[in-house]
Amino acid sequence: MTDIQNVPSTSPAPAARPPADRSALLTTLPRFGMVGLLLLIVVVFSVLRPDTFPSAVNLRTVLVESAVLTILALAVMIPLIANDFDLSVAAVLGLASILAAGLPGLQGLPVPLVIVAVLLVGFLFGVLHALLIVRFELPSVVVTLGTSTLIGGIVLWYTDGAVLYSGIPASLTDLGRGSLLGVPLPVLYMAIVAAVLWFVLDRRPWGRYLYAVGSSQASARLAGVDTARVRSVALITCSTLAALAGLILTMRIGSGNPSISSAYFLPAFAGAFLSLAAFKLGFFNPLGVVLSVYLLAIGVNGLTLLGAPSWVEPVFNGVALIVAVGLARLSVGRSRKLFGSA
Amino acid sequence: MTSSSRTSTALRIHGLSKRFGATLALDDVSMTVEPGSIHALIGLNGSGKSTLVKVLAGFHDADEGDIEMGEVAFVHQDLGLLPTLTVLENFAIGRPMAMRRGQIDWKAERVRAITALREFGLENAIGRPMSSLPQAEQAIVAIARALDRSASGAIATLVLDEPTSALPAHEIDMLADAMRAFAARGVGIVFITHRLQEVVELADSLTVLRNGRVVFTGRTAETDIPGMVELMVGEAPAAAGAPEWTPSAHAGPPVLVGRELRTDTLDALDFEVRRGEIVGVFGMAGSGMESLSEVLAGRASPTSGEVRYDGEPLRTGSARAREVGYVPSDRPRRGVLPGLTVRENISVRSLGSILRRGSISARAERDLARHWAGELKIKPADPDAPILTLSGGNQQKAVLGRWLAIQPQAIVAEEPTQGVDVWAKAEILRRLRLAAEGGAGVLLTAVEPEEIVEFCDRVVVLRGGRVTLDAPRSSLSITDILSAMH
Repeated sequence: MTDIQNVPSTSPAPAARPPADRSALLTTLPRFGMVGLLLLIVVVFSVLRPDTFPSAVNLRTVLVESAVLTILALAVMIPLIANDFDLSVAAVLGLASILAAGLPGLQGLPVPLVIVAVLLVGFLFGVLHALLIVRFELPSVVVTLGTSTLIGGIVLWYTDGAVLYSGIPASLTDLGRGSLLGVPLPVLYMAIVAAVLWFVLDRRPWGRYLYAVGSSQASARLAGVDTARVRSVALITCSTLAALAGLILTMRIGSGNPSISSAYFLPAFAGAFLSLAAFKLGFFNPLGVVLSVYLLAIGVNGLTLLGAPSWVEPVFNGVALIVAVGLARLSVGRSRKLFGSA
Repeated sequence: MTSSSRTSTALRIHGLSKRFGATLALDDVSMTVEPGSIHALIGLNGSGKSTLVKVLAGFHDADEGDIEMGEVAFVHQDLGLLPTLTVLENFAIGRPMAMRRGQIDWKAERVRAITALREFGLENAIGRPMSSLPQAEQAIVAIARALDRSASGAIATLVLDEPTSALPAHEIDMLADAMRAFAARGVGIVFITHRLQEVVELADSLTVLRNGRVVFTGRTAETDIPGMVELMVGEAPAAAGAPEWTPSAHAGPPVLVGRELRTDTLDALDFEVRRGEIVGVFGMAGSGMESLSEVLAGRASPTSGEVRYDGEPLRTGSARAREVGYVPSDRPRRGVLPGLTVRENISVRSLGSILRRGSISARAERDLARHWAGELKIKPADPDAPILTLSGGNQQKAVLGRWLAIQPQAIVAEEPTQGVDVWAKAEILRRLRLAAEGGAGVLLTAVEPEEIVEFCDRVVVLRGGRVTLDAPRSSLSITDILSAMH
């Protein structure tokens, strides 16, 4: 109160108290609402389908089948934090998947080179996006809509519309079908991506800068954040991760399907947006994305086991998305925009 | 549509109370506004002004008390105008427009806008984009629009929430004339401001709020500026009175130097900020003052000329430019990081120094935020409070704390005391003085010299992109500065 000195920034302040715990219940509970919902769904389906739903086989199926989608949703989330949309992630995933099948099958490239080439393609599309969106200040939605369409064309040209499945070496598919210590590899990859992203976004300055840009690009720039660099890295990481997702997809299913990307587009965005309603309310966050994708997958899986027809899946996904974002709005309140363009 | 019976008062509030949780935001507030009069509502941040306005607007319900009023129109500080649309379009938008054969009847809209704006000489401006008008005229359009939208055709009261705080000094008279013209129609005007000089010049009567209670309501002539300050604060603020330092005695070598700076408003300007000194730069809108501060802080590039920081050329947006402290005047849009917490707002420049094994230490970050929140007396002191829940003055302190935390060698602060209450102002200026004593060069800008001049060592006045006055503060009077500005 009376001590007036220019104390160096790193010197500890007097007596650190534990964080205020008043009304902790009110502020903490909504953060874990989706975890509760997940548990509820698991319990309900376990009671309704005790033989099939809670089995190890079914659990493994759900985990593996959604690993690629989770990585893609994580990718989409990164630029979204800074209010940039990358609508091309599903297309990049599709191209990467095709190349992962075609480069060894048609061009006969060795597996290590295939992996590098596929990731490099994603990286380069990220660089292109950063150049157009950040450097030339074009709207991200338009740019990525353009590249997305363009990539669709490249895929058609490369595959002639046919599924690529011949000549894919086992050493590649082993990387998608094997497991380590009982954990299926795709799930392991997804867990690593999520953990690294969590660390970088939550614990590294770069992550804080990204959220600062999402809060206000002008303020962040004037506060000394290199906004151009932060946004560029976000876009490049996004495309590279999308390529990784496509690569893992081909490793797992052992083929390249030119029309597979459409199945990933909306679910990836749904998973990213749902994360607004979990853990870090009103902010896109990686753990929220993982939870969201699995919440949707487990819900759909349970409904399928109950014998629900196939149209139930999109209906369930759509309703869950709107309800969850609505809940996020309620818990964040009106004091703040839920995300930049809203 | 029934016109409410014209009573002898425009607005009468009696025994109004409003409670938020444990806080009594309004405590037995009573005040009366006469038709045709201008009534100022003043008080420090957190005194209950905003709550009162929100109750009047129907945004909050009062817990107790009653309000007698006819139709009320509100114009907020953020005028709610769309800058890229024309004045006419701004005038018409947001209500059912005149229609003819399924199309907007622009002819009728034009007549309506001209009728409302002619009195202020703005009838020829209706085809121009809103953003091309001076801010005072934008405010006048916003007020005229609010009155034009009356449902009953007889607005009894007009509430203006800090209409002047964004205005350059020379435009205030323009708005003041318009306010008098509106009052002359028999409208009671309630106007909220931080500028006490305006209260004296403009208001017939005033109400002073402190901690949710009315501490004075009556004729403006019954009090004066020192009296108002005392009413608002409850006691004279400690920082008022003669400054205790010896000005510019310890000015060191130059830390920020501009040579031959040209921008669209600067004309081959040379400028220096020395270590240990506080330079106050004053000028009216368009004098080049705004451009100078951005350029010297390395936040905008000059069209020609060079900025040197600590002896080396400073490139805009470079890592070195990010070491220069910069507090922008547009705090809501360019200063705070909305949506983030006080802690995150303060720590954003210091993250590199609080890493523990490559990871931001939550504890070190909280300590850092708590330290600066304490040093700057930020309220609430909880570093995890969202920044937007703080009052403007406390947000400003957090933006300043962000820079103080990295001990910058140079700080450029635009309008550092804008929209800030007396206590916060004293605290902010004291911290800037401490930074200067620690060897930093400090540059402050303001359109109102009286706001900060007593805290400066050296005064520079700009006009037409050139320096018209550069002298130690001790040798100058306010009159010298004002005459150099005009």
